[in-house]
Order: sequence, then C-alpha cells, then structure tokens
Amino acid sequence: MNNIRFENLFDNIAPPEGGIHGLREKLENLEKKRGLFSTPKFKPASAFAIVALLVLGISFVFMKPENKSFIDLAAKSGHPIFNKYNKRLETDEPVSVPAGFRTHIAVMRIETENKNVKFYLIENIAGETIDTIETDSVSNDPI
Amino acid sequence: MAEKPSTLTRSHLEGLYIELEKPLFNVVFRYVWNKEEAQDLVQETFVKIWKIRDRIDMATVKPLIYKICINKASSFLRRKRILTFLSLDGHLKEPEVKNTNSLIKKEELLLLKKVVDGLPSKLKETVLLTEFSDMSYDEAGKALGIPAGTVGSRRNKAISIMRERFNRLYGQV
Repeated sequence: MNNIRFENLFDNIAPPEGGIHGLREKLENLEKKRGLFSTPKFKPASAFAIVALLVLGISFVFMKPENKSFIDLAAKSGHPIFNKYNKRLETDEPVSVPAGFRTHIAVMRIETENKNVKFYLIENIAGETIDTIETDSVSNDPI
Repeated sequence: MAEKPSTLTRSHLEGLYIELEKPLFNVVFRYVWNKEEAQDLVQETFVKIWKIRDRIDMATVKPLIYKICINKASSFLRRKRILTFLSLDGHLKEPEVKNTNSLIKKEELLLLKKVVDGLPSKLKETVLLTEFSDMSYDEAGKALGIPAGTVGSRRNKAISIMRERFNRLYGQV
C-alpha cells in the first residue's frame, strides 16, 4: 500500500474472460426476439383500440339495464320495498342517497331471516348500501 | 489500413468489441466497481449499437460507443442508488478484486474508488475517457458533447482534484 503512486490509479484492469461470447449470445437473443416480433399482430394503436372497445362494451352492458332494471323491478314486483323509490322515479325527484344512485343498478337481497322478519338490504352496484327495510316474512309489509 | 465499411456489419461490430472492450471496461468499472456488471454494461452498449446500426455514422462510431457506454453506466448507478435507498439495507458493493490479473491490489482499488467517486460527474467522465480510451480530445469531445478545449480543461481539473484528494488521504505523491 505504501508503494502506491498516483499514476497507479489509472492502471488497466483486465475484463473477465469470454466477453465476446457473451456479446454473441446477447446478439443471438436479440435476433430471436426480433424474429418473434418482426410482424407484430398487435401494434400499440391496435391494442389501445381493443382496450377502448372492451371498456365501451363493458360500460354498455352495465349501463343498458341500469334504469330499466330498477324501474322494471319497481313496477313489476309491487313489493313495498320499491314503492318509495318508484314514487321518486314517477315524480322525477332525484334520489338523494347516494348521489348518482340513478346511474347504478339497484340490487336487492335478503340479508337475514329471523322468525317472521325479513331484512332487506338495497345496494347499488358499487356495493354501497342505499337503504334497509324490515318486512314481515309472510305479508312482506314493512315493519 | 483496412477500409471502414459504410454500414456496420456483425463482424465489424465484433471487431470493435475486441478493440474497445478493455478501455470501455476500465471506464465503466470505475462507475460500478463490479467486474461482471461492468462487462455486462459494455456488452449492452454493443447490443444497443447493433440495434441502431442503420442510423450510425461510421466515422464517429467510436465516440458514440463511449457515449452510450457512459450513459448506461450513469443510469445503472442511478438505478442502483435508488434501489439501495429503497431497500434500506444495502450499500454499494466493495470492489471486486478476486482474479484481478492486473497490478492493482485490493487496497489500491479501494483508494481508487475513494478518489474517483468524489469527482463531479462531468469531470469523472472526462478524465476516465481521456485516460482509458485512445481517443483524441476532439473525439472525446464528440463523445461528451463538448469542445476539445473543454475536454482538456476538465481533464486537468479532474486530475488536480484527484491528486489533491490522493495526497490528503495518503500524504503521498
């Protein structure tokens, strides 16, 4: 260490053996990749278009029945649980809870059934609870 | 003297690799301080050159190779620093000294690392290029995107800083 001179700092260090073989290997891999993708079936623009179409398609599937399904359900079922929403729809009053409710599909399901009480939970498609109603399990009248 | 081809062929690329491997390796090694990583970066440089061979001006291919190599080394180092910072457990590897078939010993390598790593990046790339490549100041200037005169002044400044640091650390000339 004591013999080191400033000039030694620029001494050449030999690279590891086989550098040219490593390069050849990388070039071969590059050529293989180019072979695979030389005539790309999916260019970026095509991929973007496909994704856009998929998004539109999915949106259409979900949007199409949203108002219909709720109105239809409300109109056809005659179930008291839909009455308050149906009234609002008839009078064209905006549903206040939650905001944007009318753009979602309403889902009704039975949460629990104890004794003669049915507990209904209404959720929108986002999983947000819109309302809960307890009804008599036999008559379905709200309690 | 063999005439240079107008476009880069595979055999010419390999010829360039054989010619420039050692100086490029020595430049890059002083960035990454790891022999395998340095060799990998040199090879990646030539792969990059091969990818863009249609757009290469053969008259300036050497400065271009050095330029790409230095850029790759800088990017590698930046990425490594970020990864080291994020992992919170690492530090830059000690210089690899096993099987170093040169006169440089481990202590000298550590000293070299201390002296070189302290340089500002512009001075570092200039001094490494002028010391290890056989390029003229003009060619080095092309590689670095600076005039030849600036190459000379940066090199002198870098050497001066390194010598001062060397003396401060070890009290020797």
